[in-house]
Amino acid sequence: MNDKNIDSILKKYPVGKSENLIFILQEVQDLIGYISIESVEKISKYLSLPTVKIYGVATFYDEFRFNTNVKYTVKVCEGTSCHLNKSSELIEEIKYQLSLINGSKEEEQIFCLQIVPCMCACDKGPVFTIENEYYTFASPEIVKPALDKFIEKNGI
Amino acid sequence: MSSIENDIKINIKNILKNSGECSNKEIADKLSYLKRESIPNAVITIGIGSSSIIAGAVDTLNAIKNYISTKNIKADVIETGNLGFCSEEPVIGVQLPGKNLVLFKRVDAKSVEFIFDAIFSNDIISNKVLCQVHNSLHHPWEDIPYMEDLPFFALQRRNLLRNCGFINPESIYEYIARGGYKSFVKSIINYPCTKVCEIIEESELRGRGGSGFLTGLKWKIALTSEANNKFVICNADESDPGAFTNIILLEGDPHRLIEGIAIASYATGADKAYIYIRSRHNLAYQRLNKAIQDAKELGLLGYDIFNSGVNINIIIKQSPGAYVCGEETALIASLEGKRGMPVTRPPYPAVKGFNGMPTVINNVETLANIPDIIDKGPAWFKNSGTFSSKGTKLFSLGGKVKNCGVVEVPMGISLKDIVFKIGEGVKDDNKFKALLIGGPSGYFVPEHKLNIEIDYEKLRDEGFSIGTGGLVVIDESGCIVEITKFFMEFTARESCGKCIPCREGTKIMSDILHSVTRKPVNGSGHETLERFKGVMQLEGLADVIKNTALCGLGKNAANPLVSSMKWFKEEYEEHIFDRKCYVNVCKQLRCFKIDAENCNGCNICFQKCPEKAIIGTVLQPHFIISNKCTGCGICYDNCKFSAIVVV
Ligand SMILES: Cc1cc2nc3c(=O)[nH]c(=O)nc-3n(C[C@H](O)[C@H](O)[C@H](O)COP(=O)(O)O)c2cc1C
Repeated sequence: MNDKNIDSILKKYPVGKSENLIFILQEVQDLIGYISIESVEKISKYLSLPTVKIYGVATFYDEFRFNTNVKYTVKVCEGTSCHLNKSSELIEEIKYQLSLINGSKEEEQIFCLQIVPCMCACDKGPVFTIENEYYTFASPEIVKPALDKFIEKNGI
Repeated sequence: MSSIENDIKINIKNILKNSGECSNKEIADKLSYLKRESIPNAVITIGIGSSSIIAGAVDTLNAIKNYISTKNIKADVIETGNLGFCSEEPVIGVQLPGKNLVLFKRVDAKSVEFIFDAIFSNDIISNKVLCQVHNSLHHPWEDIPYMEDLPFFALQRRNLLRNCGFINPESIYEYIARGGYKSFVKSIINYPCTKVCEIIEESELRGRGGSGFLTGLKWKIALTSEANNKFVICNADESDPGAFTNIILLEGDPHRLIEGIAIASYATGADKAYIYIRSRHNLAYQRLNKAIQDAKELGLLGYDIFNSGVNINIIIKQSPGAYVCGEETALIASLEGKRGMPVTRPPYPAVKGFNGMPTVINNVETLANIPDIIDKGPAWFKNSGTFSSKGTKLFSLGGKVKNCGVVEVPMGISLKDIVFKIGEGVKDDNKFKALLIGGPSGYFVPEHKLNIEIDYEKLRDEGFSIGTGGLVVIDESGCIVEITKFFMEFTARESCGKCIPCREGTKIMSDILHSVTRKPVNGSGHETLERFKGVMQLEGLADVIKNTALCGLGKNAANPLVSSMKWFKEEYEEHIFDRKCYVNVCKQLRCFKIDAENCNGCNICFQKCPEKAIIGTVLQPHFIISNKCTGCGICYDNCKFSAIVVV
């Protein structure tokens, strides 16, 4: 099933042109949620690039993920303004709470954490989001209730 | 509406060629409607953009739609970009026929009803009103301040931002009604490429992406380089923590950027233009995408535009995210599908860039300046600014400042005016400590240096630089050493690892700053000596990195460190010698004491202490052994009787 889809992505790009690698990877991740081993192998054949090169490029960028199942993204702002408002404590707490939910196996993680440089809400920091829910002036105490609420709402 | 659009579409050439003044009365009327000079029914605008969405603008929008449909009111609801006044968001505007537009601030979903109930019976809720917008064709509201009267706007000169918050960014027609795409058509029809480069050169516009290089000159170099293909790249990879100037333009007035890129492509003879935008900016991406589609549909982009033989092709590429990819050579590597690592310059991209071809890379703000310069002429542009820095500059003002947002100021204004007049000073009337200019590779500016004017040379002479335009105010509660450490960690993390000075140097500097901001982990060994040795080395290390790093990331990595050591030496001394952070930000330097009066000997702290630094017997006051304590604060957080105090 996935294989076919990846083929359809590849078809949009010329064979052997490695300059499209990043855009292909982006499309693959948009489609299946992460960069799978099979997709890397397919891309490797199609672009005539060794898989190690593909991983070399993919791991360079923050955007690409290699674990399965991540369904939801938690984003937290680490801009300077948020930092002044103690976002580092918030980040610690989010990491801790997510580690409890996700457990230790990488393949089973449901949530992924993205630390972003600025969410353009410098007056309302610290800020974090769970998918499309925004939390402003966030103290570490509100992390757990917010996650609990999200989990309950989405029946995870 | 749609018939208007059709008419404009058919007459697009005439409208744009006759500099927007239209002989056809019918069309002129329609343009005036799009400019909201004369409106048949009420128009409600709401700023929807990254910052206002976080403030809850989507809920407000739903409440507005709900109100209008339940009360059966005839009104157009228009989603605009953001005005830039982040701390007052969500901002909505209401324009009744014949009356000035009124803006309301902090409109949450709940307040929509009473604001609207009032204004639709010609009354204004005064504590929700922000200002009214002057227009000589409309009647003013009484007792409502004008936009220019508010401190936040009074000293601004809003050229680039003038449409932001007022027009629908997804409507090319509104942009055209306000004079959009005139400059582009004027360029391709009236001027040869060289002339456009000359106009830009004459305007002395300098790159707003940090380097301050003359844009016209850069274009000329690319134009005169012989090659089969040429490219223009718009650098929209803004990813400084605390800078959000580009994003407000992208979300609020995308056509201005598209027009700027189109002119740049024409002037440099480029076959293709790329917009390289950070992938998490979804809204900006969508709006840009729509802008390009719409411009294509009107024949403003594509092949043989207006039978002039000019082809312009703009493609958006999403950056997969790495701070260093903002650097131009790294950006090119990333566009070529490689790891985003910089290469040495020269050759500069304008000579040999993307795919080895001449490539002009410009910042979003630089390109957004182009249409006005072509339209109004270089002399107009040079009217504002200083001797060596012309025009206006966007800054994002954040941190502990009262008015937070994106501001556009003429070059030459002082930092003090930006912080204390536009920003109205420090939040909660705290004391000012420092201003951070230019993000993680920027500088700390102390209070007595705030009189400096915004000017590339003047700032450089004082040892500062504009950077991409992030301004963060730090008040007395901030710890300079800790913020410096935060930036060093950032740079160390974002270093691409290609050159050793940057990869190793930033790591070592951040380790040294770490050792300064925490207590010794164990008393034995040479930790104290190592720490002093490290501190002694800091300045030398900074110098080496500056002189030997490959790209701007490394070269500027030590800027915050050097400027903070220069202006806030005493804070370093407190951390190093007294081992104290007097503002209690560096947690690992805190010293705790147990207040025997309040301690009832519950023994919790004894059990929780990871260092076994607390002694005592149950039901008796406990005691902290200070040289075992690492200041982790676990006891402090767990004490239910407030018996543990910071000393
Ligand atoms: C580490 C680093 C990050 C940069 N990030 C950006 C950026 O986000 N946006 C930008 O326009 N320029 C950025 N620049 C500057 C670019 O290299 C380049 O000078 C600029 O895009 C040129 O455009 P201009 O002439 O319009 O200023 C960065 C430079 C460095 C060294």
